[in-house]
Amino acid sequence: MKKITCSVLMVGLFLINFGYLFMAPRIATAATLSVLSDTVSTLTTLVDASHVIKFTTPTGIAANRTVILTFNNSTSTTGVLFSDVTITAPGAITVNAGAPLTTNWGFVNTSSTVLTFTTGTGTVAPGSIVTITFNGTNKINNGSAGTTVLQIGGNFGDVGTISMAIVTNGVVQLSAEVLSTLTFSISDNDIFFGNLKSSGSSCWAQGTDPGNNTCPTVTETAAFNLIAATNATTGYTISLQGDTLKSGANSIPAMATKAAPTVGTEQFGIRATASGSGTGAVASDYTTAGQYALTSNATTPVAFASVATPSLSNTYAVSYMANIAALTKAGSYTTAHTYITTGNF
Amino acid sequence: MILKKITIFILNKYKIKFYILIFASIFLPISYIYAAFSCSITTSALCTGTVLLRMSGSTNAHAELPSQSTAVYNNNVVCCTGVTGMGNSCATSNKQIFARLSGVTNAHVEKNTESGINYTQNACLSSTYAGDEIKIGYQSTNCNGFDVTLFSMSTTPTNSQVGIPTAYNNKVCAKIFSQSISFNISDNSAGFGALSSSGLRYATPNGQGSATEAESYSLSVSTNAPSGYIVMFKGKTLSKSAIIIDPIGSTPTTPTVGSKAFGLRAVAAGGSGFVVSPYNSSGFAYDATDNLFTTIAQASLGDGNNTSFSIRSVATIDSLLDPGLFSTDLTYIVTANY
Repeated sequence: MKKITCSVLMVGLFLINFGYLFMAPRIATAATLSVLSDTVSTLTTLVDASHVIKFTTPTGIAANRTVILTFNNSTSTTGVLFSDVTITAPGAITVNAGAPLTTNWGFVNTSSTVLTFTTGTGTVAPGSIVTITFNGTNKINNGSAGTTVLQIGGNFGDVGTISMAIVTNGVVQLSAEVLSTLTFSISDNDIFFGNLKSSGSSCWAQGTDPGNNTCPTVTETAAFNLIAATNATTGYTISLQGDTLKSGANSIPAMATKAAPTVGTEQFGIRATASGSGTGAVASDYTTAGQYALTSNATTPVAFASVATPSLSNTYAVSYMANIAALTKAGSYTTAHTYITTGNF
Repeated sequence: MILKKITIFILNKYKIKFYILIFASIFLPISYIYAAFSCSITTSALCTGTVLLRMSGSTNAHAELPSQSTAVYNNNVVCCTGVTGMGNSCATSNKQIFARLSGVTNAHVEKNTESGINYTQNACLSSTYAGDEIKIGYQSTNCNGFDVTLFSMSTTPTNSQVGIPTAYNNKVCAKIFSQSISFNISDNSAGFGALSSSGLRYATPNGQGSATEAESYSLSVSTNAPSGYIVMFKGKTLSKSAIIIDPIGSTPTTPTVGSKAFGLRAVAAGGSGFVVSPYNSSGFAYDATDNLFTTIAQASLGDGNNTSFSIRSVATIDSLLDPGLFSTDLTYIVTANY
């Protein structure tokens, strides 16, 4: 009786063991995801960031399985909608809210740190690369400075984690100052006509004092150069302020409008030409070849040259012309002209 | 008398295994000795770490859960140390079942891939840190590729007795990979001072700039991610509203003085990180945009060591550039590849 009992027990145990060995259902154990990464648009704490989450699933993803993303470190997924998500696995997968629809994956914003996807009728082959991108209107808000861990799990069979370094400030601001520049120079501050004359030719001023000589320069010659440049947004203006030639109460009339010189007539005028790599130009009263004018006086400045944009260097060659009549009163005629360059910043 | 003989036999056998363990600990590679995660068979009294499983002997043994305290199981416990937050909880979210037991004590075990009706008691390896990746495996002969051998099984996949790691060829293996990553930016602002059309200017952390090349700021990165990391940045070139200082582009060069140019270069020190083209030459480059990240540095292997990337920024202008404050915000990110 005892042997029979033992035999029955042994057979029973054998059957149980046989069943365990060959009939017990196998459950899928969690394999580890590989090639995981999460590329975020910013690592700055408490700032909304897009995420591109990639992983390779060794098990694949069967139909109607969950893929759950769980963030920690106060990361917030609040407000993220299905429409903020795109998925490739590796082909594009449409995402809809709630439960899956046919091959669409369902999406539920489970909590402020958990997002749950449920696969539809389609499957993802083992070894596939899955990319889940959050780059819609609603972003994922970064957690506190430190390490944020994203756990990828669910019942699809694989698990994995991705750690990210969240920093107080992930942005570097570079700054540079571009200073306002305005350069201006006058090549000569004293110019001379010598003794003016009423016949033969007009006289032009030049930089060397001729002493008692009469009109040493009888062809147009630049008395001096003005040189100007600026990076001002709307360029610069060179103004001229000054009277005509005077000797006490006597004066040689300025040419109120530009005109060609007339020998034997009292007149005084200037003109200029612009050269150089800049874009400055002489004012119309003073730019016509062979014609001279002086529209300013001792108290009223006038525009002499200008440019409306930033300009490289321009050289303005300024010529001074004077004629006298036979009855012009003797004396030493002089004037002072003030040139001012104003940057239009 | 019989009981005494068995006891002596077990003790002798345990002694033999103990010597084997001592021998193994001496002659195993250094990396094993210094592995962060380590396990050994010891007594419950001597275990200063976490008990994952208790065994009735060193071989041909039954198992009980760590929550139990049957006296005969005190002398062969799987005791693990070296990982902060490690535990044996099956309730923790970050855990892996390494064995299923037929009972809380006096149990046979089966692999975690099984779900025998009567093997309802799970033995788990857990971590309170979500970034710890716990991996369990079952291998023949050895646990290559894992950190430790927890114990061995007389047979697989189920209805198995247990023993110390050397008892059987069916090894139960475990690994805990504690992800680590750090990223730091030394300064969040740097300045060139006043740019010049007659020379190059280099941004410095104090904002005043330098006429000679100097570090603008540095990035430091370290991770143990198996496939390293990528450092990327995005941001437009130096600009004032719609007015820009031309980015140098993707061909590294030293900008011509008096031209409008802005660029970066970087120099790596320490660790396994390195600067990538076009930012790794003596010239400067800039091919990022406000919307598109570009890679400036990377590491192919996360060795856990810190790499410092010294970022240098250069700019020069022509004499016509609109005056004012030019700036840009460069957003840096690090993506670890686990």
